[in-house]
Amino acid sequence: MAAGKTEARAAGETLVSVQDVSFAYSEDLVLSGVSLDIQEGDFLAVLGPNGSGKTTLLKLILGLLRPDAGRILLKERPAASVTDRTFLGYVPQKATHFDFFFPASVREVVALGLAPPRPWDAAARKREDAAIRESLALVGMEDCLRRRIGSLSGGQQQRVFLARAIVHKPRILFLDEPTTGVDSETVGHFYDMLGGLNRERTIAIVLVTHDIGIVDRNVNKVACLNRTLVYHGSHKEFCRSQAFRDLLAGGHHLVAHRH
Amino acid sequence: MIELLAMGFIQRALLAGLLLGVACALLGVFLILKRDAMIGHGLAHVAFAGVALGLWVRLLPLGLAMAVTIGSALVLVRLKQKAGVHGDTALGIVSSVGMALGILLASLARSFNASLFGFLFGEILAVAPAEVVLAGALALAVAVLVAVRYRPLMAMAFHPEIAKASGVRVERLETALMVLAAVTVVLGMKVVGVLLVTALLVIPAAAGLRAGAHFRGAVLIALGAAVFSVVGGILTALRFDLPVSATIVLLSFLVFLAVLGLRRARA
Ligand SMILES: Nc1ncnc2c1ncn2[C@@H]1O[C@H](COP(=O)(O)OP(=O)(O)O)[C@@H](O)[C@H]1O
Ligand SMILES: [Mg+2]
Repeated sequence: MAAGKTEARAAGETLVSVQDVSFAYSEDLVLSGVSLDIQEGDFLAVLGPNGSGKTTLLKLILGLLRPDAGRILLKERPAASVTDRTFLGYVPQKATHFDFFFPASVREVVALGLAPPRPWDAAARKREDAAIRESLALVGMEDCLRRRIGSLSGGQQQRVFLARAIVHKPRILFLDEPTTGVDSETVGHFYDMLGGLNRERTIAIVLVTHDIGIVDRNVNKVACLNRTLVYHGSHKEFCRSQAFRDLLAGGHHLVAHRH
Repeated sequence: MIELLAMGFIQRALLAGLLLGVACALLGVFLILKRDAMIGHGLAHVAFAGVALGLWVRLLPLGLAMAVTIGSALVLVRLKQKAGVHGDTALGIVSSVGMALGILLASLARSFNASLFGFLFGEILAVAPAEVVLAGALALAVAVLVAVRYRPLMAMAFHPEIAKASGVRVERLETALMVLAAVTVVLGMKVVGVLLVTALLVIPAAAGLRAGAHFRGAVLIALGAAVFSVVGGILTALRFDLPVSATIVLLSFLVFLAVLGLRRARA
């Protein structure tokens, strides 16, 4: 497995630092006292049952929500003061639940991840075109440049969203349940593609999922979330840990689902 | 016809209509995609109340309508962004209250007369030079916003959460769209009337969104449909002595149908 290799990676800059963060939508705490760091080059799997606060944690890190207590640093600066967000890439949960009639070509969707070149700057336009083609090729969608996004299958749309999230060459990529609704064969392929991005382009990856199958491949760190951090550590230790056995045993069914 | 085109008031009508059509088409594309298309309808009713208020206090009806409508637009944005009030509900309330207030004020002023009637159905053939200048400024403001913030606007319309995470100031853009929509509605009221201003905001943009294979195409088709409907509508109305605003709207509807038909035929 690739895991041995990935764990040997040297830790670089701390891209994200979550420090004792708590958050509630209304009265009940959805997250309490969560702390974790994400280093350059990490491949972190955030595991947890439905309703355990995984999406909420991502939204807090991305600045879509503000923590009630604790703080979040991006590249060692308070998250709220970071205006240049080009080092982040994000594929949200249910990304593909958009208006299928939206008249946008695949090319236009991917281009949304880039600052527009000046119309008269032919060289910059060429560079943009190359960047778009390259990131579509990475996800195997280079032949769909001119297709309307709404006319693609769910799995293809997901890959276009991934291309959009990496087209500007971010240093960290957040993916929220990217494989729901994708068949299991494709899922393996998808995880390998992420592994490739992680190793060859040193993009740190934060993958939120309730699929514990992910921990077999590519991942070097695991965080187990159940409204609080149940486990946080290396992938190897995780496989020997109680948290892992609990997950396997379906212990997560004990958590009340709130929707 | 040629002599007609040489007349100042007709030139002003064509120019004001064209400029307004441009503003409506561009704004309409984003409002429809954000599911805010009925904003124009709601704000038009508010604008109507503003005009009635102006006629009652005998003070700058258009200016008062502008202030009241922009104010309401800002309140609507705030309600949507902060209080999480469903857009449809907020609009349903605002538009009916606006209309009721307008009628009440008009009857108080005993002036449900020609001037208020003009605002209901539009007086494009009585557009003042100053109003043409205003329409020009509006069209310019909308065009500049769309040109300079094209990708952020598209990103917001496509997927606001990803847009926000990548640093787009979604709330600011929403506010800008809403204020421009308010100004458009007030000027549009003068041109096509309060009853039909929604049509100009929605129909050409809807045609573009249905016909476009990509976003840029959709925007351009919307612009074309708006300009064609306004200019064609005015000329047709003059030629056959028809009511202008109704002709504009029906022509834009024909364009919409043609676009649907073309799509069918291609598919
Ligand atoms: N916008 C919201 N308003 C109120 N409660 C919410 C909202 N979003 C999520 N929740 C609640 O917060 C909890 C955690 O949700 P979430 O972070 O989406 O979990 P996960 O992604 O792990 O499934 C759930 O109980 C959910 O019902
Ligand atoms: Mg989730």
